[in-house]
Amino acid sequence: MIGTQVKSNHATGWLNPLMSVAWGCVVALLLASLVPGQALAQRKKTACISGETPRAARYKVEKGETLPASIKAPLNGKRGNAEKGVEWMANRRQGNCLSCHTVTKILERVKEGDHESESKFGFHGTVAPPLDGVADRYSEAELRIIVVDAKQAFPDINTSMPAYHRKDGFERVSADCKGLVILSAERVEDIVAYLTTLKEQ
Amino acid sequence: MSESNESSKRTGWLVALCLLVAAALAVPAVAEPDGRTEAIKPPTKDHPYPELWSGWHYAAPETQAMQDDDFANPAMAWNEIGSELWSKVDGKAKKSCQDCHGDAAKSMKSVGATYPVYFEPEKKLINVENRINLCRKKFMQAKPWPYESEDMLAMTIYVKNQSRGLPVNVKIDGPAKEFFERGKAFYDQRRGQLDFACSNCHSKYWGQKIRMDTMSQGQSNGFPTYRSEWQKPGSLHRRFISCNTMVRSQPFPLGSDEYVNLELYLAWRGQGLPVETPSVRF
Repeated sequence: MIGTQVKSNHATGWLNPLMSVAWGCVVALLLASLVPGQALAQRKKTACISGETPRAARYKVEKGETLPASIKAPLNGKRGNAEKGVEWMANRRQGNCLSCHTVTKILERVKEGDHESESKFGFHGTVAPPLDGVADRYSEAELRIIVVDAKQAFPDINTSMPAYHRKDGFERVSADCKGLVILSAERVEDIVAYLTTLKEQ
Repeated sequence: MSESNESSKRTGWLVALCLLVAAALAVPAVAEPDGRTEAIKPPTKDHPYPELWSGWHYAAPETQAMQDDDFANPAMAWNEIGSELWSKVDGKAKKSCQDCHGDAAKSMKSVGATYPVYFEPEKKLINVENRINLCRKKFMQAKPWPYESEDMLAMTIYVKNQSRGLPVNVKIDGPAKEFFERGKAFYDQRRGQLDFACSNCHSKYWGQKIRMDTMSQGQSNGFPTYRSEWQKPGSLHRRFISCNTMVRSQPFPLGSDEYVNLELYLAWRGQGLPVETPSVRF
């Protein structure tokens, strides 16, 4: 008897309109505090930071002049900004092209005694071919595929160069980078725009 | 006259002999190459490196000096803790490492140069960290230490330090072969969004510049190593996780079989390099 009494009281407590509003508030608060917190924690840890590694653009691969592949049209439909391209090439979290390639014209931007410009534009790698005069060797369409997916451009040499605008076909990609590309279409175009200026002839 | 002549002749010979001995002593003994200032020859003709270089070779002179001076090497503090833990009783069996193994300088000598080894009861490879926890569980009935804990780092450093100067000499044939091959496959597997295998950098480009750094051969003979980036010593597996994360790949857990297999393969890539634990790196 007493048990039933208690149970029915409890049930009315639950059904009480005021109580359901209160419970609703508690649940909403819990959700609100959980979701952005988690997203924030994840964002802090990731290499693919704050939406700077977006989805891949569609592009058409055709045979190049000297390479087996090339992409004629700009990935996002418009030519890039060469000056911004230098930034992405130097930035260690973006293209970081300078970690492997030497570009004399970028080295020349180092102001003597200026640590900041040295750290940004100096210290070029020696493991990959220098990019001086690269526009004499490859067309714009070929430079584009080299940046987008160097493995398609140089299928026979087991190149180490990452594919900067390919979203899949990789082994065990970290969860935060899965399905994303390293450089956005716009940034690839900025870099291509700069590379086409690297002529020596 | 003739007698004094004889004696002066004898004195002359004696002086000459003394000079010869002195000269022999004065010439410094030719130092064995240790992969630091002079490369070591690889153990076999088909070895992946034509010459072996310790990571020490690529470190900055200040870092080299810090490693070489036991009073300046920050990881020696962990070595000290390790030596204290060695004789500390722990667990339900009320035993210390010393109770079974005695003097570590004798019993642990060569361990750091020969691990990982094939461990029959588990039918797989174990490394020094695994072995320490096996002892803790089975013989000391003590709680295993978490992989990257201070105690585990201290004990691993202490155990491997007993082999300092001995050439790395891991066994890769017999039952270890299968695991060695798996380690090799891991090394050559491209992974992550940047699509790099260990070999893409460390087999091809050692000695060359990667931005500000010089690419090393990725040798493991100094681990656990003190890295200024970490502000403390870290295990080889922690370094693997850094590498895997850098290429934007999902790392494997500390102490995982994948990493222990890789550890054997890497040790073999440095077969003959003297153990340097604990080393210091930037």
